[in-house]
Amino acid sequence: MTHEIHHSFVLSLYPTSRGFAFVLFERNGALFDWGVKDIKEKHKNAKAFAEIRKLNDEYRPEALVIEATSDGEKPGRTSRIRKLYRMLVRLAAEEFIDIHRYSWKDVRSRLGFAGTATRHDIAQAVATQIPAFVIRVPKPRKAWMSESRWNGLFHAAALGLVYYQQTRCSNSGNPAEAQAG
Amino acid sequence: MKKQKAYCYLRTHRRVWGLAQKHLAALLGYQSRTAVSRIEAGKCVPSLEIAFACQVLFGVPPDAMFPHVYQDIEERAMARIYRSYEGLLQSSSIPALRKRELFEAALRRAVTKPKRFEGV
Repeated sequence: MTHEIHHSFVLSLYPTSRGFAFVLFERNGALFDWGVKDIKEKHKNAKAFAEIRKLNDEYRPEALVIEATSDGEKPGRTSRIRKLYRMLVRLAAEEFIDIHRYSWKDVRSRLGFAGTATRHDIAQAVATQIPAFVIRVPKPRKAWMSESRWNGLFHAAALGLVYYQQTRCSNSGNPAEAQAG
Repeated sequence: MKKQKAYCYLRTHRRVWGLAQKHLAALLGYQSRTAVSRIEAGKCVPSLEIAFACQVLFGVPPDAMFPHVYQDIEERAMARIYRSYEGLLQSSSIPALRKRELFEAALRRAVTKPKRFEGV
């Protein structure tokens, strides 16, 4: 079974301190695959990048969705993860993949949060839109608990949802709606 | 351009409902999860019984659950139908006309049928 079937995928990625999470959507917004990859060895970026490249080679996505980070005084992510994002941008350019970057402000507003939102709030908002993830919603975290490894999955899914909302607005031909965030 | 491999949707639907391979194997009547793993990876073609069992369980018809298998079968069947159709072009008997009508309908369906790659 080596014949060609044309699938169009959109790969949404969210690197974490432990590795990365990914959600693969089909072009119509349907969920196809998802997962959380833990990288335990040294040189996390190199290993994570190799894993992402493997995903890219397997699924050949049309678009890559990642978080927008700023390199200012308060970047929000560690320098390692910002470097990984730069590597992903370069990969996308080499492989002619469209890259879409959204800030957490975009994500919060698109998911319907007016002000601040915790990671748990975002996970619950994502789970309402993607019922397959309901079983993965972590319990509200207490101060003494470490972060659930599944949180990254919800962040990756949230970025993917923002991408689809944005593209739907763009396709509807209403630029005001598309830019409105 | 690298070639994209063929996918089946069994893994997607299984994971959407939080089923382990072992549990799905038991639901489909397999002794171990190996067969499910092989079907999901596209290493083997599911039997008709398994394809219908998947439809019963997930409500997804076999052509949408295993589009790669369907397309493979469709291509081979269409080649045979077209050869048969060409063989009947010279004939004008009523049975031949009736068969040609059937083959033309099949060919039309193959061209116009929307590809149902249903995700979740």
